[in-house]
Amino acid sequence: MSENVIITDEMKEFINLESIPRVHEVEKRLVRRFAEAIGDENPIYFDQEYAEKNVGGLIAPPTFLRLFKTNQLEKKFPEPFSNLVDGGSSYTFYYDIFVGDKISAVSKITKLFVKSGTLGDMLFKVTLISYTNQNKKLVATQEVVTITYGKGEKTFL
Amino acid sequence: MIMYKQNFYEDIAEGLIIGPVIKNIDRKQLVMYAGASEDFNEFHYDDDIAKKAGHKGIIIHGALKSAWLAQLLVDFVGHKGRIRKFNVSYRGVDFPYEKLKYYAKVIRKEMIDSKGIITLDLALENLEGKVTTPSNAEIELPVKNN
Repeated sequence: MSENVIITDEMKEFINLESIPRVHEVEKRLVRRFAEAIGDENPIYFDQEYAEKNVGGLIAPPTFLRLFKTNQLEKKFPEPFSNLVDGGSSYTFYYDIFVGDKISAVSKITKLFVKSGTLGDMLFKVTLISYTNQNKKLVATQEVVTITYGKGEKTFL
Repeated sequence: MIMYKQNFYEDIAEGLIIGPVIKNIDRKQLVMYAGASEDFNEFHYDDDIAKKAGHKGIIIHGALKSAWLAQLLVDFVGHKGRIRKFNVSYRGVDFPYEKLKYYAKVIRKEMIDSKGIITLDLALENLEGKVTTPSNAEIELPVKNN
């Protein structure tokens, strides 16, 4: 199948459409639980006194950004495939994220392209997520590559 | 408590290998990560769904592998350094109950605007030594005479 058949005009309309900002409070308990789940015992994530002395307060691990989900667009992306793979992420960090911060997350699809491989045709979706804190400072961005493929019973959320 | 040693720009040589760190995780860790990261895709904890998606069993969240690589960087930059950029690609899936290994290598060091910038390549390998998760990063280390 050619790229033009898979990537419809309807899909192209999603490029650069920004989601409505979604604000997340960085909760102490969530940061601690995240650090435990990745097996990271660095006290800057849970020891208040140590963190204040060394890094200016409790901070969130770099990939804690994954928790700052973005709002869905009003219209649902017309996903053509049934299976999903996370292709990877490119993070840029500008400032630390502290416990108590209020982080606003906005996402937009920046690119759509098709590649063919052993799994057949695969749709690559590049999404840029921007994270801004309560002081209107851009603290980080994440570019995520999501790959979908295959026709059948849907296996992802 | 773990003691964190501060690395300085001057002390780091190109070619330095950081690690390796060995991981061999179980289903419980994946369930913990699913909860903590709010990623409830079932192929990370339900074998039947994972098989339907074409895998031999439940797979490790790509983002969990990223978290480990980022941890290696945070430990290396210490409390006075910072990560500027961190890229990670998922080229292959990895499974719990298998020995995984990851490490970083210093590729280049350069003073830019009086900042000690270091570029690294990172990799996570599976049991067979195949790199499933290549990565690279740019970090900033404190400079002694600044």
